[in-house]
Amino acid sequence: MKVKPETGNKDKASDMTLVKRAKNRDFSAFEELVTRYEIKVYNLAYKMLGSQEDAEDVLQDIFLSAFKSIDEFKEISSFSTWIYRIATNACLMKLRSKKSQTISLDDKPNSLTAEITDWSQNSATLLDRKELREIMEKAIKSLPKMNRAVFILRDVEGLSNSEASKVLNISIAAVKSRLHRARLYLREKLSNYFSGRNEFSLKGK
Amino acid sequence: MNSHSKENKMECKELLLQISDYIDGTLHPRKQAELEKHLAVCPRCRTFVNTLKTTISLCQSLYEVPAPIHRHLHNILRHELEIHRVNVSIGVLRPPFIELTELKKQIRISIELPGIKQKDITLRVAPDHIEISGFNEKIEGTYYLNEISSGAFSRKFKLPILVNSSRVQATLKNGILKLTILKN
Repeated sequence: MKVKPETGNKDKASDMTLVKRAKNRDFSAFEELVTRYEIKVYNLAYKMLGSQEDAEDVLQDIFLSAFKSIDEFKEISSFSTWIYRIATNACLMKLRSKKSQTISLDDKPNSLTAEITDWSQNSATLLDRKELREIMEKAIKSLPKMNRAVFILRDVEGLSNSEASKVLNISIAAVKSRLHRARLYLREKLSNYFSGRNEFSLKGK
Repeated sequence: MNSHSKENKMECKELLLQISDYIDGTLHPRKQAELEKHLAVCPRCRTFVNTLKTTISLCQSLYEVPAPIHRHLHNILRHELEIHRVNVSIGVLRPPFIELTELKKQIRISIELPGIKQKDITLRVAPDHIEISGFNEKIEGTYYLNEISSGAFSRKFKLPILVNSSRVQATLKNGILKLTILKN
């Protein structure tokens, strides 16, 4: 199964034209860029932060920051990568300030021996279960920040390894390794859920 | 034949390391073939791969992002950008203002150059015109009012009569460069 990248069919030339105009203080050009990217950025923020309120908060910061630093955008990468980087950094900073409870993914490789039941089914049916959804969101939230960022950028938002490495300013190898750990961790959490070993109590925390 | 022998166990461990690349389709074709060969005979690993794929696709369809309030964002941005626009000079550099008078025995010129250091000024006197250029340094910071010109400036103006550059006296005082040119 190849995860399909969700990159919109943006006309790159016209993104760059807008950027050039925005650099010359053409505000309508910048507003157009905002309109083009606000949904993507909002989605990313929502998934990274897990709350609508936080996502709305950080959305303003992201675009204001983008406007103020538009002159520093070298136009070597795409505008999309650049705005994603600003967005991800803003989200990571917000997470840092919130001091959320995250676990650490150990170096121990996952044990294969515990697994026998194949619970992979049609995901549509699985998702009807509200409980499962909550478990998954909690599991993603408990990932260490960088692993969460990589997982969301790569597997949820569909960026490539190369794009993710540019957004996060880490090596492609680091992207792959963090993604790998995140995926295995989440699979294990789901596995526990399906075998009744539910670690995330839905009552309270 | 399909017993979980020691050899198989080692292959399972190796598979685990490559599983992400396999799922992304970025594994070297030979390694991929080896891996798939192993999967064909190892139900445990097959289950692992399937459950991992399901995990990922579940996460992809997991989110029902509540609709954001776009209009709100645009209003806020427009408001902030409007403030910014009023305060930021839009790259137009005001050339220095000049006063040029002709007296009986001299030409007197005053050039407003507030805040500019003498070392940053270049004056060129030709027989029929004068060129004044220079640089006003800008300090880094967040600007809330940005009306003072900055950067390089340059202005050229004609003289009413022909002059000799050796007869020019220049003094910079109180932000004004005063030139006195004795007539021939």
